[in-house]
Amino acid sequence: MGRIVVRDARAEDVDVVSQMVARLKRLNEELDPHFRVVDNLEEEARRYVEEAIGSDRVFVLVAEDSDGGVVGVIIVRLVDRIFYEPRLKALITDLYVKPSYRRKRVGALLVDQAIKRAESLGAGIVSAVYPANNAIAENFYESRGFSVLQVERYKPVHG
Amino acid sequence: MYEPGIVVRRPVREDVEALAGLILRFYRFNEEFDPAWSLTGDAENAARRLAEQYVSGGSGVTLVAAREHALVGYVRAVLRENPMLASKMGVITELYVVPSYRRQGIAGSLLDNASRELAGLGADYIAAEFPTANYVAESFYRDRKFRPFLSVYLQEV
Repeated sequence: MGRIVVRDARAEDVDVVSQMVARLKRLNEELDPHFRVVDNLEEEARRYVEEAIGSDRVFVLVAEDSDGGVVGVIIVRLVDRIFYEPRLKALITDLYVKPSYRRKRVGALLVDQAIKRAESLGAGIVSAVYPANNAIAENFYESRGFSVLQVERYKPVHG
Repeated sequence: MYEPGIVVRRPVREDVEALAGLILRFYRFNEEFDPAWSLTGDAENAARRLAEQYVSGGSGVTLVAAREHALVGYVRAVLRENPMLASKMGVITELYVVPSYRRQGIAGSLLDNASRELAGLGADYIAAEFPTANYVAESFYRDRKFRPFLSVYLQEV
């Protein structure tokens, strides 16, 4: 596999990062039909990634292999918890590693680096959001000391 | 029970494109669970070749769940024999239902129909193969009283 380096995403990473974001959303769809993806998923993923890379409230880190290929991404949004201390939370909204690079600690490396970056930006808490029945994500975050902070319940509304 | 209008049947020539799409989605989903399931760069063409093979008949059982002309799921199974073993095994190798049609019993119906066909071909048992980490598939089969039978261990070389 070679050495994996984590760095900030750049404009030239938009294509590969948006493809990974789209794959993550498709995986969510497979795990729960209530995450049914939109028809123009790739287009929306691209717009989402472009906005994230250009935002001062979001940081995007990528894992790059020794050949310079981007093999994983983590997107973290800084959230001001206006009622609570610590006020600044770093929320991991997207974490994806290409399947052929799984089980090589790339995800852990991305999370570790994201936590360091969040701390340097003043965040006092780091959290992650993912579908409730994504057991892989649940095990991953639990094994890294993340505990459940809040629960989101849902009910479809048919107008 | 699933919504009216969905039928389980054998695939026909006109289903090849749609079936290839389902095959690709099945493999892409399983790819997420284990790097050893990583797809080739030619996966889309490979899925089409598989679909043509499945539609053309031959050995094995392929059934699709169809809603009018759209396919919403499929199952692929083969009969596996070992000259040393007294029993013949019908093995479900692929089973997929598109997310928006989940939780209606379509996968169960595909499984039941494939099991009947395999039994008709002489299968004494029905087995199912999927990546160990695919907890969705594990839960599905456990709910239907399947038990662990064969372990496959893997090492990258």
